[in-house]
Amino acid sequence: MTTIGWLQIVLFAAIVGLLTRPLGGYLLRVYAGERTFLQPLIRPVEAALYRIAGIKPEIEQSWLGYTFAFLIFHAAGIIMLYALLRLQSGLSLNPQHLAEVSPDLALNTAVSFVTNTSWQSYAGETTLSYASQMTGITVQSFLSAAAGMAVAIALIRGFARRRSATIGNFWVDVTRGTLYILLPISIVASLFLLAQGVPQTLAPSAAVTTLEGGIQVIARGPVATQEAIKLLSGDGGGFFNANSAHPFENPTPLSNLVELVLIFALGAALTNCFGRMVGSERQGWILLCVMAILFGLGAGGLYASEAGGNPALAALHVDQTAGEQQPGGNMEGKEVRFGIAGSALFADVSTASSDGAVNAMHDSFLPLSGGILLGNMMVDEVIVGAPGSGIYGMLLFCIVAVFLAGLMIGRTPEFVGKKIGASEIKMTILALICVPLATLVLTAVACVVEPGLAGLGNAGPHGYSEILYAYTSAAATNGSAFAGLSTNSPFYNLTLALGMFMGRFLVIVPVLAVAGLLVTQPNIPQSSGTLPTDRALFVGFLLGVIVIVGGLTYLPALALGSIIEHLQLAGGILY
Amino acid sequence: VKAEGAGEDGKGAPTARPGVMLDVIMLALIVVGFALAAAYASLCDHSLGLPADKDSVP
Repeated sequence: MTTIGWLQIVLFAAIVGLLTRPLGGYLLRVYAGERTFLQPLIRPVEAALYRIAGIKPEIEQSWLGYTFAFLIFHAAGIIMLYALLRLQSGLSLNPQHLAEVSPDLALNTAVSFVTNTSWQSYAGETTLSYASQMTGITVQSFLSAAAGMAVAIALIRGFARRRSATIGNFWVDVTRGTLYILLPISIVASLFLLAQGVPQTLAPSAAVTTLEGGIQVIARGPVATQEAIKLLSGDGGGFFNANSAHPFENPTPLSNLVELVLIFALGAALTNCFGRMVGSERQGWILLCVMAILFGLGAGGLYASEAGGNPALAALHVDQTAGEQQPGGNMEGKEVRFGIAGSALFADVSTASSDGAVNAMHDSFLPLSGGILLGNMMVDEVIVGAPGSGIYGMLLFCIVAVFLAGLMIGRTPEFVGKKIGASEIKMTILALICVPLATLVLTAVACVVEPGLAGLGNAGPHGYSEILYAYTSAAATNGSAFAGLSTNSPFYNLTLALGMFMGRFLVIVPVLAVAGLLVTQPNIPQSSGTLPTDRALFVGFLLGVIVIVGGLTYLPALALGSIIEHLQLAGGILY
Repeated sequence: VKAEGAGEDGKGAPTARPGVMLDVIMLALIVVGFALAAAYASLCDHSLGLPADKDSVP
């Protein structure tokens, strides 16, 4: 490990911390319908969209109305993206004359991007036309993130409002989230990435003559515009197969840092937005503090693990120490441009945030590092998470935490002035249980059926980790891949699509139900029986709940994969 | 998000498996999935016994 490496991690965390408050304030104004500096420019567009769609922005929806709107919106999105992928060979903006996508892959990809997962069982540059990338993938990156943020805001309104029957208007929240938040930031980020060297063109792939006289085809396309929203949205689906390890997606160390900030910015800002909406900014900082501790543990653990090098190489007396001639540590599967720290940080941010973009190959990380990446996803995206899913996941854990605390010490289960009763807990547990359910059941099935085993690239616990990682990533709507597993088969395409579907909709329906329950309640004033949730004690308690609920659920699954592989690696057994 | 289906040489373009029947099956899966999700939401609403669902001005 080097000082420069640690400085990269600290600098990134500091930038995100500094952005949290101003961005949180901006989100608050956007979702409250207040005036922002972009109002003169965007308001006419917003009004026109409402007029065309027949939306009455002043009419709000009950939780069920909000949920049905959410489901209809996603159903339409999946069908449209599916049709686009199936028909792409006959559409324009296809200079490479790529064929239509197969039905099972089209379904997998449509579900993947509409649910903000961005799992890719394909190589973008050899599978999708520019039309599919621009009007399919990129558009859904915007909309899925806006929908996720809308759900988070609806839940926050549940905490913030008193004796109300409505939690907002889904169509208005999605529209404002897209127009006022995602679009402006994406435009600025795209221009920055262009300046860094990311291509943006509709020209076909370039055929160039190499120094040896051979012909090399270099893929390119409208990358910069897709890259910005890929990171900001928590989506993570790359234009190229190599994702952010490709120099056309992530050309410089500076672009790497900015991409990392883009991934975390909105998720972190939503904690501040939550605090302000419930009238206690300190409460928002408490949640961010919990996220920061979990993030710090993951980033530090990953960096230490990867910088320590591979024990199997150490046994062969290979020099893995960092020096002027080499970065040291485990450099397999990593870009020399980013090194150990830049790769470990990106991997931690990517799996913690639910973005799923990669600048190194996770399959090449050491077993303990792979376990950390899995652990990040297994705690339900609460470490900042994607825009929306991070904060509503964390709020679910807050509900469980105050409920457990109430049982243990005899305090009334309350959180930010709302009583947590049996109904709220039932819905919360429903939301929390479906991701492990989808992950573990689908992993178990894939481990015992022939089509599941057919995709394996490695044997033993490493091969098992590849399967576990795939379904964890799908159900947690992360989308990153361990690689090594060939998933472009009907079995994997369909079961992973099922995992993504469950991980998105079976979570969000009860989340919105919790919002509907809370919004009808009055605000309960704090009393001597109230557990303070804006103090350091609650940080520790909430951390314990997250680690125990996540850890105990998945510990046996991790023991069979990463943990046993780590122990075997120390004994010289490789897979 | 690495393309799992891609081979080592990066040429992972899928083989197209055309067929209207398969499209119909995939679309049916989508419709059934969302119908179940909507039913799940209705069931949650019914079990919670919340006040009548009406959209309104807050």
